[in-house]
Amino acid sequence: MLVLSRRAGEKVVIGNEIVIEVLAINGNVVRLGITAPRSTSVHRFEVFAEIERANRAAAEAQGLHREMIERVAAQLRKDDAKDR
Amino acid sequence: MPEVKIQGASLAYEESDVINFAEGLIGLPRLRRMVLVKQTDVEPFLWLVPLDDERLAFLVVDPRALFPGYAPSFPAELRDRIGLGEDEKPLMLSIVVVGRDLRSSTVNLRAPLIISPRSMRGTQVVLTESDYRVDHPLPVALAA
Repeated sequence: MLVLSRRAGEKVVIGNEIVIEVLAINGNVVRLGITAPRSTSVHRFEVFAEIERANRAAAEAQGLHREMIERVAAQLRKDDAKDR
Repeated sequence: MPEVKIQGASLAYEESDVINFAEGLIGLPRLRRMVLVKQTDVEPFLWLVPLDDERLAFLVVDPRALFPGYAPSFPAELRDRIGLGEDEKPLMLSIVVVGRDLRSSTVNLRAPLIISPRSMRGTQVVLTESDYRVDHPLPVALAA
């Protein structure tokens, strides 16, 4: 990992297009300004990690018991019918 | 016709059914080509099967079918990213984590899959400024 020290107002460039600026430092909170191409998604890491975890868990659906999937699906369908 | 295997069953698909996720899914960047296949017994769920790793498969559902009020606003560049036409309605899918029963099953409303049916390109969008949950419980309408 590359480690850099930056003061408030200073920037870091990643590749040719991504610029991260330290806007302010208050105690243990750092405010960052991120400039990136619209096609580059920027997320708070915790959100990204939570979605990654959910995706990986969901990807194993082939390993679930068939009856379990069918039961949940049937319960859902029943609720659907009651709604109508 | 090419086929994918779902829990031992072979399901046919057509080349034109393949959805391209240029960036894969979040945390699973290698899963780029996926097909959506239907099995009556698991409806309203559908199977989303990555052709890049056929041991894997996702159960997905149209979140609007479960939550009629679900209408997230998407980032402006989304149309460009998947080539969604101005007049085109995207296909929307949420990934489900099935548990022992309805109450322990969840659906990811925070990061839906958005697909252009015309371009067959898709992406997983993170709704940054929203309160939708990654593990939203499935609706249990009258199961008191």
